[in-house]
Amino acid sequence: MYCIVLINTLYLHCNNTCYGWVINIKNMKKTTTVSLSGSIFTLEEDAYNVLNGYLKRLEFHFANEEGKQEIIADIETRIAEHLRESIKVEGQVVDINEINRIIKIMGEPGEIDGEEKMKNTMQNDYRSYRRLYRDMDDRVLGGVCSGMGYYWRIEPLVFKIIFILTLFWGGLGLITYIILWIVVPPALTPAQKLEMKGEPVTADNLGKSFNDDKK
Amino acid sequence: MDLDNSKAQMRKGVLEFCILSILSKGDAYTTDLINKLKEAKMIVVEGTLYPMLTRQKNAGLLSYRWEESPQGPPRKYYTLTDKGRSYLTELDLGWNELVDTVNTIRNLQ
Repeated sequence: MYCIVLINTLYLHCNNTCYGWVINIKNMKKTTTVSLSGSIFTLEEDAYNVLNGYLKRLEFHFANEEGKQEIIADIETRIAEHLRESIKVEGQVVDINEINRIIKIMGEPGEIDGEEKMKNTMQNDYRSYRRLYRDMDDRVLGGVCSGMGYYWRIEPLVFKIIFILTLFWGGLGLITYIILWIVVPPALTPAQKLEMKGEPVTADNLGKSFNDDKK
Repeated sequence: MDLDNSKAQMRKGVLEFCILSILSKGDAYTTDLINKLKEAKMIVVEGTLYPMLTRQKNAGLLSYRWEESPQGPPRKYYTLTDKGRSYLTELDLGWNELVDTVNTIRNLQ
């Protein structure tokens, strides 16, 4: 996906009343400026999230396709074309209804490629694998205990106590900890974080964890 | 069995044939193709066309060139290759045979 977030700006919706323009602060929305197939568009934040989710679903659907990049780029070009047609005034902001309308025209991955294929990919690709990673978001030293906590579904404090107790037992705990620190990879990418927590690596979950990271 | 799905599968089967037929009448840019296919009720969602075009291009049946457009960015114009042309001739024959067969079966007493 070549959707580049450029800037975040705030803009005000104005309510036209008989007294003139009254600014209604409740309608204030965050916008994101994106570059889609060479054109710049300003999208409301929720519209951006929906479009981003849609493009991720497409990318996921065509993941094993030879011409994946080209298909997605072509679809993005068409979406940009629809957006250009719908924008009547320069600087007009695209809202979620407009994005939903365009997605309906373009079609969800299931509609694009027939239902059968969609069902197969759901079964094959949505499997979740829990893997041992070091938790870089909640760590005292290397995040080993927190990662082990996720892996075995045990409170990380249990591992911390075991490590500290065995520290005085000929340094066994310390050596084990250092070895684990070296051997176990850190969970850095959103996908790795989902794997660490045992959640399926789907476009929706990735979108969610991406948004959590930004907060 | 669901009727809409069966119809969609039937359409999908001949979509490849329809794309080649449209291009045999002259080069077209993607949106032209979409408009023609939608007008003929051949596709329901526009997204269907893109994977198909890329597959046909990778199979050597089509090629494309970029052309400047008066409004917006350059457009992708698709054209039928020689291989695509002979492929279409075969599909034409196949289609006629199929229609004959189906008609024969439907007219059986």
